[in-house]
Amino acid sequence: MDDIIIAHEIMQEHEIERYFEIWRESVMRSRLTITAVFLKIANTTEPNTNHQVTSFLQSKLRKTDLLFQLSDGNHWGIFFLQSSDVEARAFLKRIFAILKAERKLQHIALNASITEIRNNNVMFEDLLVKNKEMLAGDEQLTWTITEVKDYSEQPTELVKVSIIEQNAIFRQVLESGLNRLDIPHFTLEVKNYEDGYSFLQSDSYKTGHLHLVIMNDILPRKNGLEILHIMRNMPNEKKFIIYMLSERNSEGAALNAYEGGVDEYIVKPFNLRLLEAKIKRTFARFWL
Amino acid sequence: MIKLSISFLITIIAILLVVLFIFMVYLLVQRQRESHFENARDRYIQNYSQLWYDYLFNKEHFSMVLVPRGRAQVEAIELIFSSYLKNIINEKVQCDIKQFSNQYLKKFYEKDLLSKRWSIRMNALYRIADLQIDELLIMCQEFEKTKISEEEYFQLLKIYSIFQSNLFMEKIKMPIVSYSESEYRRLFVLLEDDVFIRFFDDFNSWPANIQFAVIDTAPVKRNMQYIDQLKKLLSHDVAEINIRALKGLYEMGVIDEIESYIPFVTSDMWEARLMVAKVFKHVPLTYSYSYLEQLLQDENWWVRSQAAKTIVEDRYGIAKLQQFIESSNDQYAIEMAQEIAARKEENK
Amino acid sequence: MKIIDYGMLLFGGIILFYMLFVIVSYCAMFIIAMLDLRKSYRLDPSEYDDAHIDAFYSKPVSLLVPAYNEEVGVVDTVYSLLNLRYPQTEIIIINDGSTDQTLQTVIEHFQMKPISKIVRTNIPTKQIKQIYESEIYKNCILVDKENGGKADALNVGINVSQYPYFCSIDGDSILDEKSLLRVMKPIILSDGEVIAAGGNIRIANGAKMQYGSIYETQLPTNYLVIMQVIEYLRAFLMGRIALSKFNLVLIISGAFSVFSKKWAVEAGGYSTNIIGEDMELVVTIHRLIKEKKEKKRIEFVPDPVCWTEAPQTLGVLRNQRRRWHQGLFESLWKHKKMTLNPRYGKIGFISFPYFWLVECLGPIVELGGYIYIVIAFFLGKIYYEIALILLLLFVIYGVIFSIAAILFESWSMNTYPKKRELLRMILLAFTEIFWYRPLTLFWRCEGLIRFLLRKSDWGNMKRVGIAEKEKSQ
Repeated sequence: MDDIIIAHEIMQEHEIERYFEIWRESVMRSRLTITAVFLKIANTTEPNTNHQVTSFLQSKLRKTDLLFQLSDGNHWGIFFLQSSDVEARAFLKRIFAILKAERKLQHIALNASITEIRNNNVMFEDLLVKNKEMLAGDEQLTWTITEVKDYSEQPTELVKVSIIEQNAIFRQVLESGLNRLDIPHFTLEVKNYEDGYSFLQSDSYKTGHLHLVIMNDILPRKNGLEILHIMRNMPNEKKFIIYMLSERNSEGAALNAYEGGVDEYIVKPFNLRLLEAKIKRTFARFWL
Repeated sequence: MIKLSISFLITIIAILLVVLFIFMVYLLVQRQRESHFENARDRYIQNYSQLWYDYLFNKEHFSMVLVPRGRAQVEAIELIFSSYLKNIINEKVQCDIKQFSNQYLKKFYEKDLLSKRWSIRMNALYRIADLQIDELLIMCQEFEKTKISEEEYFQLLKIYSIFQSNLFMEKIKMPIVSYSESEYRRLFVLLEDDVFIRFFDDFNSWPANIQFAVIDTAPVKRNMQYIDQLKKLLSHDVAEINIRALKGLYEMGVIDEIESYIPFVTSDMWEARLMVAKVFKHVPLTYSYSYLEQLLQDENWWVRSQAAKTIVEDRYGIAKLQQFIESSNDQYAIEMAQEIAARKEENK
Repeated sequence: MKIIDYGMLLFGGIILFYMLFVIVSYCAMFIIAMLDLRKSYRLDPSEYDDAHIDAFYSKPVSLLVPAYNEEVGVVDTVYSLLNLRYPQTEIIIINDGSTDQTLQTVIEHFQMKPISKIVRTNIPTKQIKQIYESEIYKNCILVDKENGGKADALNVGINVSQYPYFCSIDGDSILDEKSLLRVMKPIILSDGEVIAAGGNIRIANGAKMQYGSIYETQLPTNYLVIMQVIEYLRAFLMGRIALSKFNLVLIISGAFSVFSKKWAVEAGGYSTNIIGEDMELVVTIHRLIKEKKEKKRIEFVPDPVCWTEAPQTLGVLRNQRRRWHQGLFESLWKHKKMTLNPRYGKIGFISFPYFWLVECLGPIVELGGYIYIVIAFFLGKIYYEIALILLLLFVIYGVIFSIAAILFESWSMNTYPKKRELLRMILLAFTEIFWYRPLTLFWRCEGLIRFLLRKSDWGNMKRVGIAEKEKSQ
């Protein structure tokens, strides 16, 4: 009988819990969204269905997705790492369409719920309970996709912003502009410095926070390139987003700066609105 | 005799003492004035730069307290404006600054233009151009008729080029004063493309300095229409113009065919050979390698060096150089190829 | 008695005549400098600075820093060069076989890594040991070479440099951030007609400085240093401006000067067997210009500022002055054929005689003047009166030139000195003639004697370190 697909080993609820706890923490640390999808068979008629569903789901997953079976036997869970609810929904639509079209599997009808996780306030038990409740509704409905919204609230992260610029009037412009900047899920703590030395003295760059540095390349007492070098040689250098402003319009100077590790080299005069848009875009990329 | 000379000497001493006293008083008074002036200026900046920011960037209402009273405040405003204009491009801000300057600063610069002091007049001319006080254009034209220095005339040309390009073209055709290349560049760089391109129409009629500055300015304008103009100059009789045109084309970075450049590989001028080695940076190595190999064995150090650098920029450049090192027997060329290849490896 | 009387009269006459000549030439310089500075006083320099920060308007410059036992100062010098507002530069530090930690200090501070680089030998020099490149600043190079003297180190720098102009900076000096831009101004604006330019040197003692930036200037407290401050102002702001106006400059300070590489190489680079190698190069280039009949100029520019540490003790100052004067004599002597030679035009007819008479022989005559006053004082009533009055005259005339120099400084910097500092400088200027002037005159005469004595043994002259000033710290 070729329509019986042999089910592979599938992970069980108790095995997955420990993995989940690691992922949950990396949601915060690495800003990686994970999405959990739970599935339940809507019409339990034929005996062999569970195996068929398991095999079917397993054949449709990517390598970064993880399938497991709940201890009650008729729920499946899938963790999509680095994915948002958009991708999970697309996945579900795809497999629902296949199931409806495939004649051999036409006896199966599923319901699904999606949970997007963007913070670490979620316990594994709660996740299961909430989703089971969602799926426990009316038996008559099939192919429904519901959502658990409880964990999709992104935490607000503190970003340190340092402006290092010699011209006091322009420094004030930058500071006001950045203070006004509204970036979802990030709060900016703006500080300004008039030269490289006072920035290095402040020690504020040593904390683990994300740190946006907007500085001139030429500064009295430790210039921009040296500060760049110091920051890029720190063990957690990835936390720095470095924008260098320069009045030196020369190809060589820009190349040196990029090779030294700036994220943007902007020649003055520049458009302030564009700078703000660039900064916003940079932060938007951190989360899916 | 000695008696006489003693009284004479004493008179001189007295005169010198008076001179000394005058110098000292002058210095002390000036110091006093200067610190008063600076205090007033800094006070204005401190009190009103936030207001200025709110007005220019946050579209808040204009407040009459911002209107300058006295020179110190004018200087403060100049400092604030120049900090904005130097660092930020924003059309609305530029427009507001222009409007404000026309309305409230005009009278100060008008007076400065009539000053006896050259430096004061120069500063006024600077500001008229920077802050775009176009209402003073007529006054500037009047000013031109008085006896003015070359530097002032240069500033006037700059002002014309901003406000009235036709007038500018008219003036520059009259060879009253001749400026250096870098000064002409400063004049040309701000010109609109449709004005600037007119320089190519009758290229040979311009003096050499203008010709050179035009060629050098063209690539900075980043407009494809100048490629053809520069290519035409490759066949000009003057070697310096050929070389500069090559440099300009290299800077434009768009080389659509290499036929026009090949004659320069065997040029008598090493500068031309150097430039053509640079131009080949923008050409796939498969087309240019045979010429670059020729340049790599050039008698001139700079040409050899540039040829090697150009080759090594290609993805397969190092392999090509290794091949060359093995097969060639030109010791100088091999050394150069080795150094450049080694540097490239180091930087990986 | 009669003979003494006539002798004294003759002696006094010569001195008076000489003094009149000097005073007239100083007055001429004073007026020329005043007209020049007065013109640009209050001119806003930022207009030029801002436009020319763009690489499109300027020419790239190689900055050469020769260092011999400069472990204390060289890092600050390099920091100040890194902070220059100039679009395109390369910094070449040349370690001239230092015996202290100069090499290690630079390598550590700027993370230098050895690189392989072929150097074109434009000028023959001592052997290069190793070339390094900074990991932080790609345009910063360190050359380690065998000891050969400052001139030889500079020649190595010229060979290594890749740009058409080079600027020499002493390993214990600090450049102001806009100074390079401004010293290059005559070169850029004349389309290369100016082939060398020198800037203003000021004394950094008393200024507060960190990582190559001067952030507060203050008049130093040491009287010897204040006296030098005044002396520098006079020398630079009166003498050199006036000479520069007519292309007559024979000295642009080696501590901060820019040269066209082409011309310097043609002149054979810096001479290694002479003390005043900076003056020597300028004179040689002048000679070259005239011999090739080209229309080129060498200029002094008053507003670019280079800060340098002045000697704080008499011993070091004596050494410095002795060497300067010996160097001056050497160069003049070497090119003595140019004096009053119509082939060299104004240089031969004005500069050379001026330097011979005022700068070179001046100390002897002035010293004679001091001796005259002392003798006259002891000889009797008539002499003693006239001697006193003459003395008074010279004091006041000295003070007037000093205060004029302070005024010029205020005009060229667009800022006036503080009241207290001004008064202190003026008061000190009154005393100059009683201690500072005779001391320096004496040292300069010493330099002259040394020149006369050692004239024959140039070849094996013992090398003096690049900067002995550093000992003063």
